[in-house]
Amino acid sequence: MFSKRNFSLVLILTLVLSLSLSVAALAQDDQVTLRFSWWGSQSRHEKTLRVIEMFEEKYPNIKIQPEYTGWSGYWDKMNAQAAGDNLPDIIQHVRKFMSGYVQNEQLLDLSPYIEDGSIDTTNIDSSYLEMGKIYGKQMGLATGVNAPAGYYDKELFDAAGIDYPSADDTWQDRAEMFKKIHEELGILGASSPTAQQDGTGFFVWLRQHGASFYNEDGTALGYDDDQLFVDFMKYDLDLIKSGAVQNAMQRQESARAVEEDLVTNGKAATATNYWSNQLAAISTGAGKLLHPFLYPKAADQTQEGRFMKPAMLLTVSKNTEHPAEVMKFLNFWFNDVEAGKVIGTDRGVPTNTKVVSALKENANQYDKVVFDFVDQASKNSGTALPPQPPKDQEVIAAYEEAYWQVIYEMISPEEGAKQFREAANKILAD
Amino acid sequence: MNNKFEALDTVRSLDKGMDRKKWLKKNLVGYAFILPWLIGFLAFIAYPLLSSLYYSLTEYNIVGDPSWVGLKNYINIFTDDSKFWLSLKVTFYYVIFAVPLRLISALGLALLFRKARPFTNFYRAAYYVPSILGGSVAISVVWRQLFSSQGAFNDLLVALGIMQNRISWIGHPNYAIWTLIILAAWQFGSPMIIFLAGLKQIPKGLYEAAEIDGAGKIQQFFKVTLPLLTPVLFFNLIMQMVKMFMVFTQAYVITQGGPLNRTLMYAVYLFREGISFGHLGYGSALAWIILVLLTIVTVIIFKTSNKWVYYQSEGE
Repeated sequence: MFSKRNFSLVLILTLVLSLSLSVAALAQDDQVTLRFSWWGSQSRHEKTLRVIEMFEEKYPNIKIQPEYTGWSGYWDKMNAQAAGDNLPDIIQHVRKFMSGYVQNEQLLDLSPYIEDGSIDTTNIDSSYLEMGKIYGKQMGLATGVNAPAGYYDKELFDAAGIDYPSADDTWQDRAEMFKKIHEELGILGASSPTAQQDGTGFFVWLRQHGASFYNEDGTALGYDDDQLFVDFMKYDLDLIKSGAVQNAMQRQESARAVEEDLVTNGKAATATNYWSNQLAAISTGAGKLLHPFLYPKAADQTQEGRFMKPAMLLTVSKNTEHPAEVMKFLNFWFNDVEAGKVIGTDRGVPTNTKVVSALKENANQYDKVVFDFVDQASKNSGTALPPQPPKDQEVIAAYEEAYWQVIYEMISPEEGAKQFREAANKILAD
Repeated sequence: MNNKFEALDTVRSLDKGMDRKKWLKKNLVGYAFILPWLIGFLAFIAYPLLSSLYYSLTEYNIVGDPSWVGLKNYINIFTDDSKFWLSLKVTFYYVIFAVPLRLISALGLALLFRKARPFTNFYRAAYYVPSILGGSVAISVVWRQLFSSQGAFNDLLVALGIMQNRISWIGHPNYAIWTLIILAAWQFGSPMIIFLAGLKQIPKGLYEAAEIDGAGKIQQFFKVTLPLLTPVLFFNLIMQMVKMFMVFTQAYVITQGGPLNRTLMYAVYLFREGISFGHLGYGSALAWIILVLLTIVTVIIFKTSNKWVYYQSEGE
């Protein structure tokens, strides 16, 4: 088929093509592309993309390739990419998952870059830097701080003639509040009395009773008395029976997007399972401002159990090929006031004092509320949570399993407590 | 003619183990042609398959390095993992109901579309659509909505007076799996097309003969259509069964394995262990177990096939 002439023609063509390709590659050599992954809602995506645009304008030779999803599925994706040594350069992280990534040496220690000034931290308080430290090393930088938050619909409380939630409410006060709303308006007081499934409510409850979810070094559960679990579950079961909160089946099918929470369409007067940085998202869903409130106190509490945490952190993959450019981005992210204005409080109340004061000046209606709420939370918070053990996800899954079985009333709270303890000990002992 | 002799030549020279070089030269072109496929096979099938076998014998935390543990994963799965047995039970339950339901609806519709009527082609295409959509996330989200307590399915039942109170079908421990089974039955498109092709192969003369012998429509179906369709049925059965054992998207999106793990399909459990919890070694072992299990089930069905599958060419 091929004559000799044809063959040499093809050969020459191939050579020319591959040469021109490599020339093109050479020409683009000083163009660096960084991958940046985050999870979030639509409003976060839009804000982040705008900040990326601003950054690319300032540094035309650096391109940021955004990779974003919702929360569900994000960690599956990250874990799979970690397995393939293909993590993005910049990874939005949460403190509770960082220890596993650090132990497996997936993340870059940022301390040298802070020391040599690549990242300027003069305007970031050391207590906030502390939130990014894992085992004493600066493995990430907190984008902002958050407090667990519920949200309530003022109009519904007015209509029912009930006092708004306050920071001094006890668990019993809240239960009565939910029941009264249900009696007065025929709607739910809340979908569930606390953030149950992910354990946040239980963490607070345990701390208020002088215990904790994990022990200090994360090798076992941090409480010995199963009665704590039992009481916590009975509290929920009692509310389910009264009809003031969703029953198990309704919870199973309830929407997972914050914008679609029952509180946004008047089917519930409160939502209990969110964080302070979700105010804009949930209010957008409702089409009006929903007000944040703190977790309740325990009537007999031995210590302040409520807490704050870094909303999320930006971390850097150890495999990044362009650490210098990554640090430019982080420096821009944490110090550029204009960028900070765009990001607002969506990733928690920022840690940079200059950014915060600029934000306060031009704060919109939502952000003002968030600033005040975080301020209130910081006055009502105990010590920070220690870093969770790498097996945290499995322990939480075991907790959720016991939780579901109890609220479906397949087992008693006592059996649930025992089952969870056994499962957790087995996971943590491995 | 010439080619035939050449081929014979090749065989002969092979038989004698002679002239390997010549043989290789002759076949090199052939290998060159299948090279792209071969590379794809080695890179995307053989290599992942073998590495998962290796990983299944290691303890491999997804973000660390694998360390050899021998058969420990397999022993743990069989002796110390109630979720494994639970997910097997759930998956078998699903397959046992979903496969026949899908095949019956596929066959029923294929019979309906067999004769050319006005718009038959349009309906054939329209009824194929669920198959294209069915595996997607979007349709799973729709399904979630449809069977929720505020969903259209409840509207229908209440309007018809079958039920007084709405219930959450996807939240109910006993019914949740049935929402998945119904979804599976609804995706009958591809077996339907294959049944249609099979039906066209049945000679019209047989029906005429049956009619002359006085067989009614129902008798014709059981005595002529069904026996002659058994090879196609056999094919569809195997294909659909394998597909359903691997069901993932629907169960993952609609119920996440809940409520109370009543819809914890094997693939969902594997994903949870392997990816969500990061136990890649354990997950690989789970994958190999289902592979072996599927092979066994398939072999059993193959063995029984000569009892019920009727090939027309037999005895010719």
